[in-house]
Amino acid sequence: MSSAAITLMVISLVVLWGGLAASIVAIVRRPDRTEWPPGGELERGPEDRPDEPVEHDT
Amino acid sequence: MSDAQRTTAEPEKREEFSGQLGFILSAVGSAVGLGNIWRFPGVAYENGGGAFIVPYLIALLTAGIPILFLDYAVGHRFRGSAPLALRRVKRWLEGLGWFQVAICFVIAVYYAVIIAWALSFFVYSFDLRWGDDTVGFFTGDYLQLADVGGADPWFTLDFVPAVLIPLALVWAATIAVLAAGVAKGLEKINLVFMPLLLLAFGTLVVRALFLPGAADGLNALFTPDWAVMADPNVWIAAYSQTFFTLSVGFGIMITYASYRARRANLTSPGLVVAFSNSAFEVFAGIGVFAGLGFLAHQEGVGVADLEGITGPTLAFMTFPALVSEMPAGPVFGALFFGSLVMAGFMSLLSIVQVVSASFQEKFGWSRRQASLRVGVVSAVLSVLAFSTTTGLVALDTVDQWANNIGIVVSAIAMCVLLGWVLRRTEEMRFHLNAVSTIGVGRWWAFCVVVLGPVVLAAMLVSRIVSLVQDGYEGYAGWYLVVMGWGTVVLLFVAALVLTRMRWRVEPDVYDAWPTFGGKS
Repeated sequence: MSSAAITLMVISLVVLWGGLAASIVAIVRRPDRTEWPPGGELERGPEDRPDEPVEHDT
Repeated sequence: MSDAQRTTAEPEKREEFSGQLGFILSAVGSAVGLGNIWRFPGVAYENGGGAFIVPYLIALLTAGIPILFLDYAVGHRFRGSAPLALRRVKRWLEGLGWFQVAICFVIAVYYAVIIAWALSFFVYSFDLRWGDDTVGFFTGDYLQLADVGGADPWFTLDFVPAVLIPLALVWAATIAVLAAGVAKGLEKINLVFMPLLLLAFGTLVVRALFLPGAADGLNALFTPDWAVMADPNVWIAAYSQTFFTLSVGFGIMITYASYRARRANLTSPGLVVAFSNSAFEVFAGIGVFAGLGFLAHQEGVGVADLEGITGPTLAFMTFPALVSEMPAGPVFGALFFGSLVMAGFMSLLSIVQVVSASFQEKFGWSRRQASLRVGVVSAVLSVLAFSTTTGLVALDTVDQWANNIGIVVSAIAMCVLLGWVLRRTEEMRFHLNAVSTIGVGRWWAFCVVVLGPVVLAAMLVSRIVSLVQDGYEGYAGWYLVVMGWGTVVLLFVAALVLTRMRWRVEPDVYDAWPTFGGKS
């Protein structure tokens, strides 16, 4: 392979796989917000959602 | 049904993905489809090789990802598939939602057929049944094509059992998965198929890298031609690629986002989805071109002299030839066609889910009723139109118009109506930022309101001019009017009719959360 082709292949892989790695790191470090605007409680956030459905008083 | 009998659109809690991972894998499963494997490598090769990464990346960041976020915001804030969510934005936008549903329906009807072909070829891999003449095998022995492309007949009802049987299987599987629900059907399949796809395709790519001639293929793909940067057509190709590959603008991502919890993060998973999709396609590009380099080496020609390096031709004519030349060919043939089946099936599920969800919401059908009715009608049309000896030409034509006209019109309409006419982008930006961990700035609104629609309009105009002036693939003009432009007319008619039909479930009693600017 020519050096130009190798360089561009490496750059493409680094940029796209690097972008994937960076976005995975970002979501692992901060999967969800911890504060939300008021309301929205009836639909629970991911942190307090057990496997079983929860009945809410309406 | 009287008003008293009408219930709200969410009589029960809306279905949800079980969490972040389930959503991400399902959204990646939807985005990663046949195009990643057979479209991206050829497009990159023809548009500057290695230099294509520059316009591609810019297009991804300024159009693909911003429009993906717009879809997410609409679906998540207004919690419905395209017609319901868009109606909740503004009543008359429901029509655009049904236009998107109609596109999904049309695409599903022919997309399933390609998966059926891949399923057949998966089986044929084991004894390399295509022999030496792979072109003749695909069009003749397998599809039994009638003499089209200049001669009669243009339409027959001569069914091809080798297509019909796997096609029936594909539809039966689709109905079964969608009837099981978002978390228990759709998500579970993606949880299994996505890692399997990576494993199967990864094995294939790594093997291809060690074949003689692989380096020549990679040279052909990555050697940069910087002169193309000044060519507007290359930029249009880059924007088209990022736009089509992410499955944005026609309701899929609206629907998927509507199945997330209200407080779910949107932008961070969106970035993972977008980069996974692109990472997969550059990886696929390496595998495909390493393989093409090997084929050229075996045939004693240059990579540039190879024909059939994109689309179904690549998959069903060129790849079988390559597999036949490979050591342990049957194994790698099975891996390749197995990958196509899995990638295609995950995308098909997402497309049909859009149709099924919108009928559930408007007509109060249960999930099972909707899956079965939508699935059976689609399957029958699939069989009638595309499992016959004229199926390939019909498929090729409908695909060209549904994608390049239908989806692009739909995306432009989304951007223009939400951004220019209704001026709701600030509300969508507020929504994204209220629930997400990575904020979007005003640049996002600029991409969605100005840059996106301008580039999409350029794509649309250049395509219309080319289709009107040059026709398509040498097919007869009247045939293109009926099957191509006719498909577009059908999309509009379906949108009109379905919008005018009565909601069996009350759609408008709904408060968007979080409250924006004093109103929801």
